[in-house]
Amino acid sequence: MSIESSINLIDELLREQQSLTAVERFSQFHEKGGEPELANQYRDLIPLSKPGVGEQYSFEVDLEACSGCKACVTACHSLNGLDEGESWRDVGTLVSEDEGVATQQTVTTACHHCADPACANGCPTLAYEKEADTGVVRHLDDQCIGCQYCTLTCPYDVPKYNDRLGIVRKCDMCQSRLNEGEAPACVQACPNEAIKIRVVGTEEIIDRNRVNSFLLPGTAPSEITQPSTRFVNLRKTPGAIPEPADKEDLTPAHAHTPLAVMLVLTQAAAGILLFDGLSRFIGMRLSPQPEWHAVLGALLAVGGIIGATSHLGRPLQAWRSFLGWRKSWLSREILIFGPWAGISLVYAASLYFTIPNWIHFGLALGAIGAGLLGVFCSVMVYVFTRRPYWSFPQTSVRFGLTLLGLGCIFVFPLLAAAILATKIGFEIFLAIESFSPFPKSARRLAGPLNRVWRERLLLGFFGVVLLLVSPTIPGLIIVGFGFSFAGEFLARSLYFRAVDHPKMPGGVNPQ
Amino acid sequence: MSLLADKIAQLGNRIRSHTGPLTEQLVRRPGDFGLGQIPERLAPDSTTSMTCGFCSTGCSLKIHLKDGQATNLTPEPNYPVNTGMACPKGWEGLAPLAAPDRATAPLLREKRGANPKEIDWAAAANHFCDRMKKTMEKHGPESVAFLSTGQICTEEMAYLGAFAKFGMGMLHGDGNTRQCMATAVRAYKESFGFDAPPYTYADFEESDVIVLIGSNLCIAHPIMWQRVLQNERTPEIIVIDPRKTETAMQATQHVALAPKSDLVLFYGLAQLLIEREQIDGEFIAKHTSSFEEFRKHLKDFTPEYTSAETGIGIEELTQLADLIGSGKRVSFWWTMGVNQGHEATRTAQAIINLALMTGNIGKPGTGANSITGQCNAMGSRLFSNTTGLLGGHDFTNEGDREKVAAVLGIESEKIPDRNSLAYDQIIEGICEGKIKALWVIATNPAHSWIGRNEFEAILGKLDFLVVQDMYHTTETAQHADLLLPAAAWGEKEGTMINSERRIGLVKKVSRAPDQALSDFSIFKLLANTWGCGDMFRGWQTPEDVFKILQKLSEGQPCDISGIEGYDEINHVGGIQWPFPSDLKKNPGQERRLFEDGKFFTDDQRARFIFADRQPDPEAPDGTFPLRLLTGRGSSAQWHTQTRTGKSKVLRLLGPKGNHLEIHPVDAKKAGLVSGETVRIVSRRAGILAKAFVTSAVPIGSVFVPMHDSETNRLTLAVFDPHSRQPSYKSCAVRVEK
Repeated sequence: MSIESSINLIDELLREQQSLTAVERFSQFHEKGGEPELANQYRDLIPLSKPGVGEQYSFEVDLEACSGCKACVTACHSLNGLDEGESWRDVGTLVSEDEGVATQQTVTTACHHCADPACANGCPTLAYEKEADTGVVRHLDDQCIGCQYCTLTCPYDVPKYNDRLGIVRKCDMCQSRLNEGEAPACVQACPNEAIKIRVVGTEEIIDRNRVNSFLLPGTAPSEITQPSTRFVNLRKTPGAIPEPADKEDLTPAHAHTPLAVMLVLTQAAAGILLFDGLSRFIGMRLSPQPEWHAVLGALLAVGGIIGATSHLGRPLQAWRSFLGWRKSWLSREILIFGPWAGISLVYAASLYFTIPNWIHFGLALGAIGAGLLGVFCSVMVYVFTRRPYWSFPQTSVRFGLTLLGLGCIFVFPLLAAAILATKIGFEIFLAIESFSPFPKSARRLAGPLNRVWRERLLLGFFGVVLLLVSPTIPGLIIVGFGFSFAGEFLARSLYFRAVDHPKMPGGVNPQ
Repeated sequence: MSLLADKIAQLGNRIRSHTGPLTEQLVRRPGDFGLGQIPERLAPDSTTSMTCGFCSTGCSLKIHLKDGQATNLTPEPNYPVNTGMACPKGWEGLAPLAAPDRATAPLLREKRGANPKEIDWAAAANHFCDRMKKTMEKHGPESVAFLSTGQICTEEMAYLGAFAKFGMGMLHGDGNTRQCMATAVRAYKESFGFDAPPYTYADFEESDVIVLIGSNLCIAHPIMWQRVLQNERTPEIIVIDPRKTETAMQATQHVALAPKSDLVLFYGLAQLLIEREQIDGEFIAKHTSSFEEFRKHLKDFTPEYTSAETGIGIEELTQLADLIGSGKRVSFWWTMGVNQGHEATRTAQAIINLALMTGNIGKPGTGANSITGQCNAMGSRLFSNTTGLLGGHDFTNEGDREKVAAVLGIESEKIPDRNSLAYDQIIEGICEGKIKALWVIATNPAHSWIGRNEFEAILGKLDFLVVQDMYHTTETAQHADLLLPAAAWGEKEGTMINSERRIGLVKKVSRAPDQALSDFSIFKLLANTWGCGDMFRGWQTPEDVFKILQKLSEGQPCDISGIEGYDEINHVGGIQWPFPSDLKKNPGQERRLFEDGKFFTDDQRARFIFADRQPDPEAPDGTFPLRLLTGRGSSAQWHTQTRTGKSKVLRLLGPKGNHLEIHPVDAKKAGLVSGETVRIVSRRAGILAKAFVTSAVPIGSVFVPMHDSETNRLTLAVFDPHSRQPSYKSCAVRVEK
């Protein structure tokens, strides 16, 4: 073939490749509007009428009918136009072993549209709404500031953070479809008709959850949120309880680094301001108290607020976070820590001016009080999630000792060393699998988190040693504070990453 | 006032936003086109349906088009195969097209180890032809070969096969269908006289007893499982598999036979059927041959022997035989568990024999039915010009050669008069230095080839490796001297044939990236550059080629000469072969073969074919005490994952990395628990995987999914002697902590 005709051919082939021919030749004819073609197939899978008073829509999943094809997950993704990798339905596996007989069931799960949704109860901006007529728990995407607190409060890991948008999104049970008598995406897509929509009374949900305290093996107690989903035909053998296939999975949880920074900064700040005030005004310490202690405290407080804001997907909308104060500990924490940073700055600055002592005192009281109250809110933010690893004793001891330990370094370095050493001891105790009430968290620390765990111990240990010798060598105390602070930061990071909590079953060797 | 009210409402929305740009991202609206609500952002201005490009189920997907370009898809409700459903792969069919590692221009590696450089198509085609011609001149026509696929359109396979063998003068070319279907092909050819899977999917719905053998239908062919569930006759569903697979969990009965004892099981059942007089004597007498020899052969397969070898109790065997011989409608379905074995062909034929002796063939809800793997394996079986001559013909038959030559308008001397080497023999040829140049099209042997531990070294022995693929990143493409960028499914036109012989259409609904060309266009360009453009003057479009294939099929069991082009296939929802021109109009959407009891052998009788049991090629022993089974991992993974790995949603649905399923007894022996990383060692290699302890695998066996590129480092390169299909399902290993 001549070069010229070869080039002509290539040009023609490339041109032809780019012309899309399917439309002109094969495009399908359809009447505009009209009933969806699948309507006949899903008609029996959705209720005939809308929920009445005291009723709501709910998912019913037939575990026996599900054969594990997972089409529901991809259908949710495609039919809702979600981002790459985003789906509001997840699948996991329950397995059991009964004397050599293995049983396996796939569990498909989405939002449980709870009667008492923790996502809504914890949300600082009221970005959740439980619709009065349908019971659907709807997420208001434009209201969300991307704080991701609901990803912690939901015991079923339903809300998922979308990095591109800086907000959380979740299943709305395809409400607009239900309103038009169409089935939700997952219901439409199941080849085995394993997912149905049912109307259920709120009382019935609560009764049901009283009888079956857990949705499925391994899940959180249903009384926390009163999930409306019903899983039927769980396959049980006499000798074995099904267990999640990912029971042994040690993949660490999200690190939430800005939150860890914020928590340690605010706790250090509150502690420093506390001991500064105590020594300055009650005279616990005889030598004059340098002003920079208060300045350091105030700056750390401001740093903490900046750290917290950097955690938000949409920081410019953060002003809304007061809206949820009636129910949300996070809202309360923000409401207190915000002004607190301001008061602390004013207090620190005031020390450089000669003004009546009662003003100093009043400002100090404000800074100390707000700081302690804020840290208490911080504790409650995590206690509210009902995760055992973050229970009140666990969290208050950790946060409290951080506050006291870092707080008194510059006033009572030896006491600080003792407090921080105690805290390390407490953490070590919990990290020993055979003693720990949290063996899986212990295994995470011994396994995938081992490097960070050892770094935390090393930093903490050096911090304590430096503090112990600091009275003899001036300047060491600052280094000791640095080490201790870094150690506490890693400890807080591990508080997030090692957390083990009840959840919906995951898959074998999950992503 | 209303202005004030608006302002207040606005303020209200600002404090608590029920609407806004983020909310709008997810607004759904009526999609028209029979769709129901769909995301407004992706709303189509037209739709068209086409056959899915993953597995052989052959579902139809309704593509949502905006300005001719696909934006989304939903399963097609008006298609007899899938009736509005699809598995996750189908739903995500478009995602792999948009992957960042698509091959967008021809790439040439001037030296091994050097980085490949982009070149233009003219240079690529010239380079291809120069190197291939030089190799063939220097080392003869047997020094080049191609390895093709079951993933491209039939017309493309035919073009490739015809260009390579009649145009270039190659002798050797095979497809990756050798890895999945060769056994069924061979078994059917010998037993029925033609490679003819007899069933239609409606048989799933019309059976009383469904016997699934080595087939994990629930996750390998989820939409076929849907058809099983649509059976209203409350069928017995029997799964014969050493593993308690997802399908076995769903079955009414799981027959957990010892690995590699399937042939014995089927002979044992046949013997029981004879003993208990549960055979269809009339059917045997009228429509089969060699039954007496078979009966004699079975004498040794007593219930005691069968039970001892298979580990299935005599009572269970008897019950099984009773079900099969009950006179109810019994259908047998097999997949890779049968096909990928060292005595696979005879095992498949043992299944065929059970169907024949009970008269379970040619009637609704019956059949000895091989479920195919790839979306167009069936097209490849008839029209790829590899194992058989185009259109189900025979290279060694002079009459066939002359017929094909006449239809194509070429000299019959251009058609080789002997068969090609099989896949493993081509690999062996490279090892021995006989084959110097290899052309790999749309397959990934550096991942999938059995015992591939040496494969990279073997590729290194080639003088010239051409890879034609949609990605430049596959394990194989990374070794290519020349990479030809191919357009993908959805970026081109053509037909594919599914498991039940249904011809479906693939359409051009998306633009190929940059300079990627359809395989069809690539073959056309190469043929022109080679200098045999004249031979393919009539092969301008895929539909031209389809018409040629129709003509080639005339008079064959796979006669499709009655189809009036692509439009009719599109219009009626796929067409099953045979569809000869004299077939009555509107023959029905679900047709099965052999309803008249006439087979495609010379005497029109089906043959009972059988053989002695062959020794296990690598039985577990003291050093390697466990048997490695491999297979499908999840419904979201396809073969070497070159495409499914590109969809983030599909990745989420599969496991992270490789894993090993091991029985609690064996786990205890090895001292390991679920979640631990272990080393699996065979005589070939050692690989790492995470352990998952489960009695779904039998004691003494372990299971590893096939999708991880490491798995086939372990497997043993043994082949069924009749089909030359690799025996992926068994080799000896040990597990170390």
